[in-house]
Amino acid sequence: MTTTNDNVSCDPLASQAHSGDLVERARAGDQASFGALFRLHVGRIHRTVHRLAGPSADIEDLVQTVFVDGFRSLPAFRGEALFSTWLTRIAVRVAVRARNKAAARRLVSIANPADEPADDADPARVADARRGLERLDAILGGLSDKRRSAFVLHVLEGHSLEEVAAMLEASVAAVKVRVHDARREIERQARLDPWFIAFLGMGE
Amino acid sequence: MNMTTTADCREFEERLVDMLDGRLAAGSELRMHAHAESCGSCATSLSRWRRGLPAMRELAPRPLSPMALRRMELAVESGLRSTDPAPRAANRPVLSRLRMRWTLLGAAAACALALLALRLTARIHPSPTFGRLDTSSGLALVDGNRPQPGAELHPGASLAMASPGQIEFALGRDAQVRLTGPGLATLLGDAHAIRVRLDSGELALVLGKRHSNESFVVETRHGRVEVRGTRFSVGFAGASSWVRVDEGLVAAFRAKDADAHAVGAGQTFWLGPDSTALVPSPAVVPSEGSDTFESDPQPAPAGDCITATARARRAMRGGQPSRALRLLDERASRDDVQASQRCRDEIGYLRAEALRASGRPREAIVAYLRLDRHGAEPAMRQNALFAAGELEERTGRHLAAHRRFEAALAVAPSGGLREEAMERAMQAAFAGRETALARAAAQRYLREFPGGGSSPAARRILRETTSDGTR
Repeated sequence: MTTTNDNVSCDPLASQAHSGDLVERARAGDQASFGALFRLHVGRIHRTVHRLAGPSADIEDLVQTVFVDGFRSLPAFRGEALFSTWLTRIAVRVAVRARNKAAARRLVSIANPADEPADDADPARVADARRGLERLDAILGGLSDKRRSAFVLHVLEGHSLEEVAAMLEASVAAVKVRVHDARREIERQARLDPWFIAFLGMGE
Repeated sequence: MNMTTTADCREFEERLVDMLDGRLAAGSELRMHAHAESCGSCATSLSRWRRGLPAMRELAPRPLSPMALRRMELAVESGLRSTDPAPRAANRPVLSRLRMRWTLLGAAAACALALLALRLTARIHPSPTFGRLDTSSGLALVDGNRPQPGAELHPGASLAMASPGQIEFALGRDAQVRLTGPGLATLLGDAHAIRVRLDSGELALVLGKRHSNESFVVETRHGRVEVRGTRFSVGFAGASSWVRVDEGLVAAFRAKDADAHAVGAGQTFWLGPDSTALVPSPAVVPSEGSDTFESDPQPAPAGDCITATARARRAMRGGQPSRALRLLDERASRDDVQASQRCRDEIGYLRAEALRASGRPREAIVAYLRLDRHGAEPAMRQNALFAAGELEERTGRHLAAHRRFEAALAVAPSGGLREEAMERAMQAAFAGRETALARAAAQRYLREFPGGGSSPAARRILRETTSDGTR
């Protein structure tokens, strides 16, 4: 079974042109391009860092670190990978480092009201979504760094195995094994919680 | 879940997510389906993950608010402006790292010698960058002497205010501190690991983002506060002490326990026992976008405006949108010709947010659209139009929502909400049964974000509709 993108009726190269152009201008010192790159990628990086590092009051700090590190390292970016792939590689490194640090020191978070659900959302749905996210975070928290990274990037973020291999600087074969092992572990853990299995619609 | 171990089953499992995401070639996908038809275990797995994958992907943190996005963008800009070492080795390509390894080994020996020389020098001349006094008023004493502006502050320096008054000073890299008396503070540590011990009085601080090798701690007898880049104050009230954060985040530690408590913007945390005494309202409000204190003790109109918006934000964070609305309306009703356009827009935006949080969607939409009409900066107009689109959608006005999301895209084509606006415009058109619009929006989304979170939804729309406008 081979994997291609040819069943998608769009041109990935054209879609990256905008980002590539911004990267070139940022490397030339154009300050506005840094802001544009930040706005282009921050949503995805924020979601990825949360899923990799787990819930923490530091997520905004970590996302900022990813961008500051990434922008400072732009001279070393040689365009061999997509900028988004390269930035995700930095996000993985920052998130894993933070996760290991956090494990060494317990952080009691005071809920940030800005992160609370909007007042006008359906309370029952919000409560279920929150419980589901907590459950998923807990299950992801039980995985090793390598399995978690591979699972998050491939299964949750939807990157291809080849892209994930480039992000993790690993072989495709290694990523396949990590994703497979992570999925088995997650299925095993999820089955221990009938509510979660029902919530995901993954029951018998 | 019963996993078989045949090669086909293994391959099926490995490519399952690619298939569900539509990344497989037609031939490969057919073979996957053919295998599932002949293998009960893989068919079950396919069925479960087909239902479970979208649900699992939905379990994501809430998107960052426009305000948080702007705050983070400013922090990144500030981080880039600060002087920092060259790119870290971890970000360099592998080959480049290998080539550098020998160079680094050679450099390491030279560095060791240089460090030895530096240590010897430092013993003779203490670091001059630890601290510097800016201004003082009232009866201020540094190590028992009347200080001169520009005087250097060394580790161990004692700052005392015997009467009401203030001492302003800079510490280490990018930290501005004000001690309001009567009070007593002692400076400890070094330029990279600064500690300020506060025995009485109040400290207000504005700090730039800390580097990984830097720390900044404020201690009272009740506990301590560890700081990253932020604006905050620490002070005494009765028998207790408190920390109040205006921007950013600090980690607070009570002396009696080892837990770190994250204190965010708008929050006050008691280091000692909770006190019924009121924490004073901010005595100083550093100008927004600046890392220094206002030099004029009388608030200027712009500063007054910032104070009003800061109070409104605090009320919003505290779940009091009606109070925020009252504060903003009071401020807006003043005949203040000197208020900047930016300040007026900020008030307008917060007012719209407060109306939205108060459950008044129609009025909120009008307030958001007013910002667009009045020519606020593009990023703010995009935020406002996007928020208006969300509200239109929630009230079932799908086509109006589609128009707002399209307008949000048009006003700032490379803005922070670009992907979200494209996605929402697509969904709104689909929900409003405008098939042609939905298809065009789906094709545009896939063109711009082929691996985006909503690409499965875009493909579904293209599958479920036809180009002649039927569904």
